[in-house]
Amino acid sequence: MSSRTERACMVCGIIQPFRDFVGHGCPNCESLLPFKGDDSVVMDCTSPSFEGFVALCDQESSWVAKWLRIDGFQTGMYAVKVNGRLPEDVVRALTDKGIVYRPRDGSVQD
Amino acid sequence: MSSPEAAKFEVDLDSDATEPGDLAGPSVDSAPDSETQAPSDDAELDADHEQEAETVHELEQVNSEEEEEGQNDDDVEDDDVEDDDDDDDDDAPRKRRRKLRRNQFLDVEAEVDDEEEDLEDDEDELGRDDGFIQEPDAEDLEGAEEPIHRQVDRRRETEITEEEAERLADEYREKYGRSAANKYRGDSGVVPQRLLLPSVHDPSIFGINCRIGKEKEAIRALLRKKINLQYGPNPLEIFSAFQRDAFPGRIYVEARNQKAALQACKGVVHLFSQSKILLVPIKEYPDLFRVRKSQDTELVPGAYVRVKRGKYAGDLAVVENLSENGLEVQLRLVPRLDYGRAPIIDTASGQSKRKRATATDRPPQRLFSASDAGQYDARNLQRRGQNSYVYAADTYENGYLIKDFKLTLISTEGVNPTLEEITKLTNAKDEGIDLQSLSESLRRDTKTQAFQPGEMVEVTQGEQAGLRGRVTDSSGDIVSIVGTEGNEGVKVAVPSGLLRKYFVVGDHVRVTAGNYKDDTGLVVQRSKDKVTLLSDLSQTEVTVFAKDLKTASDIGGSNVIGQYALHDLVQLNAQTVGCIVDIERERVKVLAQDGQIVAITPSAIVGKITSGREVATDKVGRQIEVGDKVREAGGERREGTILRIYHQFAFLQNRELTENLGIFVNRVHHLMTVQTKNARDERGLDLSKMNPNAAAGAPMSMAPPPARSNFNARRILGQKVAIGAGSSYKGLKGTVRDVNDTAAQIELEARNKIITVDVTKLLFKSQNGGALIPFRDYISRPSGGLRTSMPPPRTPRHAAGAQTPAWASNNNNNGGRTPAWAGSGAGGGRTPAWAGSGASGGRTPAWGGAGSQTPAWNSGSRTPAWNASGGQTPAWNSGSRTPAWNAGSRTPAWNADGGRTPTWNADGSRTPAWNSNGGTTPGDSGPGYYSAATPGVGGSGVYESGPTPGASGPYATGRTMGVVATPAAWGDDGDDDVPKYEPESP
Repeated sequence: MSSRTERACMVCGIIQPFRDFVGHGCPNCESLLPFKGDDSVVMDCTSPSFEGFVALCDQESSWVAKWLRIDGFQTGMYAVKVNGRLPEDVVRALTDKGIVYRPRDGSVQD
Repeated sequence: MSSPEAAKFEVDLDSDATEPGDLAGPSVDSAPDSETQAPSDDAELDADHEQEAETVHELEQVNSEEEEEGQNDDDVEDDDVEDDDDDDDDDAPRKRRRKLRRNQFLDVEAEVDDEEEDLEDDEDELGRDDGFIQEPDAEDLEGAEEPIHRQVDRRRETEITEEEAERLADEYREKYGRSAANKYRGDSGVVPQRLLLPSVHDPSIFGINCRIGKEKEAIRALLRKKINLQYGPNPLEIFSAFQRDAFPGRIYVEARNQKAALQACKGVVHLFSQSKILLVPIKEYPDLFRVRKSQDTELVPGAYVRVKRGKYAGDLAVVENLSENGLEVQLRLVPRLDYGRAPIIDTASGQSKRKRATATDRPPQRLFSASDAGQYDARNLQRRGQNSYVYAADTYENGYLIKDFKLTLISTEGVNPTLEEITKLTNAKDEGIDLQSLSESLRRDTKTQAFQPGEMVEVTQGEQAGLRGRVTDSSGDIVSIVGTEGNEGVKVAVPSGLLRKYFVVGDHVRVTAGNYKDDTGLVVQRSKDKVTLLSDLSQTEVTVFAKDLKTASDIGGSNVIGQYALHDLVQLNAQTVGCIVDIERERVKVLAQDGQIVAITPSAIVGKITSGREVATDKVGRQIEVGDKVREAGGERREGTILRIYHQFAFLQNRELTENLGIFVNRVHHLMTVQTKNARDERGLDLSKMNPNAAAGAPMSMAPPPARSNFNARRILGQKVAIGAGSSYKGLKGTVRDVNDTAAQIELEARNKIITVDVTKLLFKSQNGGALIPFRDYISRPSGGLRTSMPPPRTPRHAAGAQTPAWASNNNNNGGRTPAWAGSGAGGGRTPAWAGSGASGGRTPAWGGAGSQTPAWNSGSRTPAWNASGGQTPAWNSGSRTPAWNAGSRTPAWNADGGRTPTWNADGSRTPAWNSNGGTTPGDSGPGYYSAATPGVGGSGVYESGPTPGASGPYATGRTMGVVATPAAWGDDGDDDVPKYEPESP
């Protein structure tokens, strides 16, 4: 797989090249998922299949950010829909940390 | 000693306070150190020593404790050692212990917290602490000084906290890395999305047109632009920008106003900011972000999919398994392997290089063969277990390739697997075809599968599985069926997905889809979803899915391709003609004149030969033409019916032959006549053939014209006609352009087309307009219109009473459509009045038989007099028995009545005329009179034109509109005059 291939974080939806996930981690979720330097975590927890590009410019005032629940995240490019699911153990780990994992693949509607 | 110390602190404080710029500088980090060091540089070394001694002591204690722990747990010890290293680096434990010690002296202020964050603050205080602690050693602390110190300390503390916050944050980031700085700030999902619905206070969303396919680029460009201008003089005032694949050619920008959005889009390539900008209504915001779970993830093991790209592009595959994250699927496919047998030599480098198989150039599908692999490419072969191998990094089980594919590389829709593929993909011998999964994957394609009432179906799933029944109704996805074969009377409604069509051996069916579309045949075998039929056309057995079949009453296949039809004579090239003997989907098979079968595409046919003289002479000179039965004079002596003749070649058909649909070709002079069509006059030799002139030319040209039938063709030439039942052009009108014995050419009015129609199917307009009369009637008349054949209105009195439209229409000869009227006296089962009224239909609902409106009419029991079926009103039902009615002339009263209807209305029952009438005609006086007479006149009058509402009153019995007009007339009477109208009257 090309290191330039863009992937979207399954937790926050940010879109970055694969190498950025490995090199710098996810700007939002690094505290939850240790992406940095770990190819396998990046492979498991990010998805190459996503749809809907959102350029998040001002997370404070943006309704779009609120609606997509990315208003707490860094400025950047996000995906509206991220296909794929986090592995079960990761979901459990997140739950243990008090984070409710909300899949971004459209399977959860509210 | 105290004052210089204090002064020193003052200086330090001042320098800290007055030089905030230093805070950001690198020197700042050393500031606390210098502070902590400052006292030790002074004369209070001993104090420091004391501290250190104590610290060391404490450390020793701690270490001893740690050692004890370490004995229990090595890991813990390691951790602790690491901690110690860290401690050495940061010098933290000392400080902590100092703090601990200090706590003994200081009050609440010092014991605030022991959180790590505050440690730094404490560090800053340490210098002061040191100094503070040392004071008692130097001199007695005066009570007045302490508040000053404290004030100073507090002031300094607050100042430092504020000023150094940023630096501290940096330190934290360095020290504690990501966990502190990148704390996850996503919400925990507790706020339901409906509470996030947009309001007027939220920014607007503007839709901006974009070059299709460049939406993502535009979004990226916008984000870059936003970031670049963020700290410039004119930052973009947009909050977000986004695109969705569902809305191609458009991007959306979230901004407070259009100006801001436009400003952001200005200069961004691919964006058409000049064109109209769409303001998305607030209500539709969430729709822009609707996320539909994709079909892909609904894949289940066993489903059939197709591979999109690569070596296996287009190949059918079965889903074996799904990866955990739903992004990959494990598929089972029929491998395409050459076992390394096809290396190609790269001419440039001269090296042998394995060519990568592509969709166009790939080995055929074949199950994996371990022996082949071992023979040709043993290096890459590895045995895993029984029937399981790894070859060239791919796994093969039971001969099938088991391989992971990305979801994006497979297509799940429109798979439509063919039976051959499934058979190939399924180890039919071992496991059989998994009908369950097959129907699952077919389900998507058969969503629109229509079950028509009357079709036999079988339930495939659920507790009713196996039930066979007949479809009675289908609405949407639900099909109602009634059980058959032992389940008679069982009515169930089943989703159409759980049904399959059911045929029994011997059914004649038509294929509705697939390769054999439009083929028909007899069902010869059936096994669950598969049906084998014997094709009518090709006489071969064809196996198709039951879903692609429907019962057919006709025989046929696709007999037409383009402009060519089966059995057409076509020109193949300048010298060759042929007869189309088979039509497949994309090509036709042509039997050429030399006996060769040529399979070509329709476009390769030069043209169709339509105007050949299809007449010739046989071996002995007899005239043969299309339809004659002939036999080959030599060779196989095949018999056949002449299908086509072209010059010296005759195309014959013998249905007993299977080859080429029984069509064969031979030269005409190799044929012997067996039987001529229509048993033409057989005189041995064709005389025309004896005449060399005629023989050279057209044999038929000398033949006498066929006997004309006994109608004058010219009479109908140029006539406007309508085309009647029996023709596919039924209902169309046109002009007769040409005519012969049996057929006429009609130039249609509606279409610019001339068609040939059997003359007997023509309808002619009568001369006085109106009715259409069939051909036979038309030509049988001498010349004129219909009038002569129609009896004249023989009841002038009725004509006088023409207020009843039924009669009036009779007057106009329209009644011709109701022969009963024409032969008034001979009226059949139905009285003309009925017929006429029936024709007028909705206007007289009661008459028309649309019973509900006038129940009196419908339910004869209530008004027996009116009841058509009832024998109670013989006068009415069979008009012949009421002389007054039948022969109107004999009931002058009737005529008078007709004219005097107003009297009826005004007087109702008591009309003297009525009475007198009653006297003269017994029928009138009796109940039969009213029942009989009034309906004809009054009834139709009321319902149609309404001139005699009075008459209708009683019949309506208050239920029709007539009532209002004439309640008094009959209803009020209620006496002896109208007993027969009472419901209970017989």
